[in-house]
Amino acid sequence: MNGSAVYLQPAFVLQHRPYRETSVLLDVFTRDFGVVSMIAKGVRKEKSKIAGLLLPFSALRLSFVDKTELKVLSQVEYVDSYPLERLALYCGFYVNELVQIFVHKYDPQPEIFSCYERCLGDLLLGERIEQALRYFELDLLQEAGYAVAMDSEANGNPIMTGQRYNFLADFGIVADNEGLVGGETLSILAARGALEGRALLEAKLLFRKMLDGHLQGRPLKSRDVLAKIIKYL
Amino acid sequence: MQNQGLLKELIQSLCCLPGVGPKSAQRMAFHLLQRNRDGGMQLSKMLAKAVNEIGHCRECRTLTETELCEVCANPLRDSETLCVVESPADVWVIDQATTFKGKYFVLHGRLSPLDGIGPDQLGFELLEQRMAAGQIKEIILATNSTVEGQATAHFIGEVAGKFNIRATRIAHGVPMGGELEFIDSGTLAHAFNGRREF
Repeated sequence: MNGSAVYLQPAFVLQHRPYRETSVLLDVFTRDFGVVSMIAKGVRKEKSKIAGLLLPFSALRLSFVDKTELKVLSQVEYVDSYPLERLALYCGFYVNELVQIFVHKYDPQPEIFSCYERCLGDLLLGERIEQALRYFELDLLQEAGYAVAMDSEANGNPIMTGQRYNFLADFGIVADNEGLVGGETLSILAARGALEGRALLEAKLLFRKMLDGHLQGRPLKSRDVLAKIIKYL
Repeated sequence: MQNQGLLKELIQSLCCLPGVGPKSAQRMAFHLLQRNRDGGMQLSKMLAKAVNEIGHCRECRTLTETELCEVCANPLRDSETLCVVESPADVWVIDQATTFKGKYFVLHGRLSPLDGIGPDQLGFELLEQRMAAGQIKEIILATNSTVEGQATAHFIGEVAGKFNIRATRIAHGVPMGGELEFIDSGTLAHAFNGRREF
């Protein structure tokens, strides 16, 4: 896409930080170009008309140009916003960080884009926030190419209720009497059923182990901040 | 041109100011040395003094050279309302523009999970202590109208609820003198959702 202009691409702002006097650097998740870094010039001026639009959790259409890796934003159209509140809002930042890490620059991921939209929609409802996060993590791992079958062991044996399982990196789900997740939870995940109580906790531990394996020691900043926020509530 | 020497160092040092690039820094340096050496001397003394002596207020964390800032030390100000802001500059603008007579709390930032900025970096322990002390009846959340500012407001509002303190958020929407036709869609949608009984 070097050197070409992109018109009104569906996108979400993942992160924004001030740059120089009046500009903003944006990490944007686009439908057809993956994560794109761009500069929005003049946004922090007093009379800027688009400052109120270029915020995370708003569905936008963006046009951008330039030959270098850092694109220049040329047009913004507002589509819809997801006014997340409280816990859903804090968790939204975590979802953004996951996308930032697992979706590569200029790597089109339209499936993850629609999973992201669905996840924001679920977070907006404000119920079952943790479940929305778990299924987003599952979708993200699958679409990013790290899929692990939830309905059978790595060796092909079907998942049994009452049996405990563990996850081994580069291998998959294996039976293990001391394992962190039960067969019931894996069955619910495979069927994308409602996660409650124990299943919710086990799914969290399972996905955390999977994600951490791919993060290779890189810390998730939003996860640490989220843990501290929850401590105060 | 000279690439070393005191003059060059001065120009480079002036570049640390916001909005000052090498060109303006050069003009400033020549002006101070050629036309206003007294002013330059005074500036250097004041800078050194301010940087050494100005710290944070024990109660509200705003910038002050005393242990308690002017607002916190003023017995005439209402201790029952607390206005939470992101930066010391916000204290100044609110004090000038409004009739607010309560006290302030300065976070020096906002919750920004992607940058790793959480409650600890914002002096939240001190804010919680003040809420727990029982004197505060209302907390006014005057953080910026960005997603991070909103997250900060939600978080402080939730903790205030735990202490049975009323939390209010400053209004956002159509600016004074603004015409609807020229307002961006995001702001207008927000203003519409936040409409009030009239």
